[in-house]
Amino acid sequence: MSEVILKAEGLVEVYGAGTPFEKTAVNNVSFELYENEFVGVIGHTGSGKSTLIQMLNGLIKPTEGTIYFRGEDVWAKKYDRRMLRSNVGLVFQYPEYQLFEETVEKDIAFGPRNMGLNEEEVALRVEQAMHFTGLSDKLRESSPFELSGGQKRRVAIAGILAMRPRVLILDEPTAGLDPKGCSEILANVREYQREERATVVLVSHSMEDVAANASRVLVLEKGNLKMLASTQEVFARGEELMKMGLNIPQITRIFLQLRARGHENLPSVLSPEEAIRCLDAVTGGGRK
Amino acid sequence: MIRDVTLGQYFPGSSFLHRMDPRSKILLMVFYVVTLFLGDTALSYGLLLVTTAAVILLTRISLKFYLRGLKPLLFIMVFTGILNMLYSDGEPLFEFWIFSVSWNGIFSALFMILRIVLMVLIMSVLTYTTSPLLLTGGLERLLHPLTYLRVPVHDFAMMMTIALRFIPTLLEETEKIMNAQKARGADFESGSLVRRAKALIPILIPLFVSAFRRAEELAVAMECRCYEGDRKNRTRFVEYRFTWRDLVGALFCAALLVGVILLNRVIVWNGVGV
Ligand SMILES: Nc1ncnc2c1ncn2[C@@H]1O[C@H](COP(=O)(O)OP(=O)(O)O)[C@@H](O)[C@H]1O
Ligand SMILES: [Mg+2]
Repeated sequence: MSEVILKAEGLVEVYGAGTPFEKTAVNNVSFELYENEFVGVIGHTGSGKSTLIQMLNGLIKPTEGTIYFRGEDVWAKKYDRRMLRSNVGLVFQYPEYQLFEETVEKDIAFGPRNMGLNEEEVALRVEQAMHFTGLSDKLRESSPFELSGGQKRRVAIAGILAMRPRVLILDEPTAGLDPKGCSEILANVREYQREERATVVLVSHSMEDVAANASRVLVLEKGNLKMLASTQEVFARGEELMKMGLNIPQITRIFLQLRARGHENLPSVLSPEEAIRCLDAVTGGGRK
Repeated sequence: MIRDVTLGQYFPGSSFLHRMDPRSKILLMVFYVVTLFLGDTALSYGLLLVTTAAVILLTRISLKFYLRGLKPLLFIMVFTGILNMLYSDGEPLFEFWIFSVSWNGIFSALFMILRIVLMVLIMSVLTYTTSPLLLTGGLERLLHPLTYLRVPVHDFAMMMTIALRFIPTLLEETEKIMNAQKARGADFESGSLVRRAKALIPILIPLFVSAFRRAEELAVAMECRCYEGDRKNRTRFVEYRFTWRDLVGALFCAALLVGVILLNRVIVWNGVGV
């Protein structure tokens, strides 16, 4: 396995401590993220996903616990957390609401400029980020406010990619997009990961998306880390997930039910393609 | 965190005071403050102190939230207290420089401070036990007679309700946008004043955009439900009704006023150095 890039140790976050609205959003969560892996994060609404990922790039200071980026405690006294945020890029939920510049190009350049890069490098990164997110060159000079919802979302994601983060965290990046827009954005993210050999953390409600992309899955319930294992293993525990109010990919569920009915030779699958391959193998090859 | 600001904060509950009619709570609060300012002897203040403490206990809200509400006023209280102490006449107790401090001064300062504290406490009782919606609703009903003078009371109340409703939302939104820009390396804490002012642009623009979007959505949603402002035959979903609780409250306040006036007259020792 490759090297650990981010490490969380005993993270706790309590909101509104000492008020009647006190709420433990994240409770004693520890895990490690490796270079060049794709991790899915799933959990019911309010399970603490957004809180957890905002701790990972130093936006929220954990009430208790420590976060290490490449072995360094990010809340140590002299640690440069602005630098951390360019290394651990966080795409918020509905990121299009953070757009503010006159042109798409300038908005994407906001991050790299804040990093203090020279203009040449900034321009290069903007171009690359637009390429990664599938934004055509013609949009450079457009106002981000006149774009369609899906395009706005891409501009916002490009704004993070332009900082070339080593860890890219996306909080429900496909919420509210049409199926085509969803799969395109996920394909963009995968391409970024492959080319930069970066770590990707994807928070999503779509189990299909997580199953299709992630190699490991982290499950949160009421602020507690319930599972962290390979995608196969996690979705094979469908019963438990459903008890937490979570879904599993439909095809995985079908196979689980078939197995429960006595088809014990069927494995657990994550995608329709995989399912077809299994069925072919079981029935002895394709159509007669 | 931004969300922690207590701005006339409401603590949900079901105490006697929570269940009083907002109209009577507002009126009785005004009445109570007037009574507070009528008191001018140690005895009458003693009574007011006891009744205020009783009212606070009745709300079943932890005392620490009341104390927290007093904190920002600490400076004003100390300041007026000292002024009152130094600038009142009477037999000097001791003198220094151009000031003379008398028993009279010390007492009037103490009374002044007590007055402010009690006033803030009793107003906190109102805002802590009444949801902002009920508060504006009650105000609207109380000010209703002004509509005959062509004052658009209903519209003002609706604006206030909407504003109150959206303050927490906007604060939340501000926090979110700030975090989103920080995630892109924005820096709000360092640099010159001009630089810091400039750093606000990435927050303000998205904030305005979203506020306008919200306003538009809200307007459409209201129109979809046939809202047309104040119409004569408009009925209300929530009817306010006075109950025995309001009667008890009114009697209590009236008794308090009588008590204070009587105690003002009983000159056991009124602090004027008798
Ligand atoms: N800034 C905040 N202040 C107070 N409570 C919060 C704040 N942010 C989130 N919470 C609460 O913490 C819990 C976890 O929220 P969140 O991390 O947003 O969950 P998720 O992203 O999984 O839906 C929720 O109960 C939410 O109400
Ligand atoms: Mg969330």
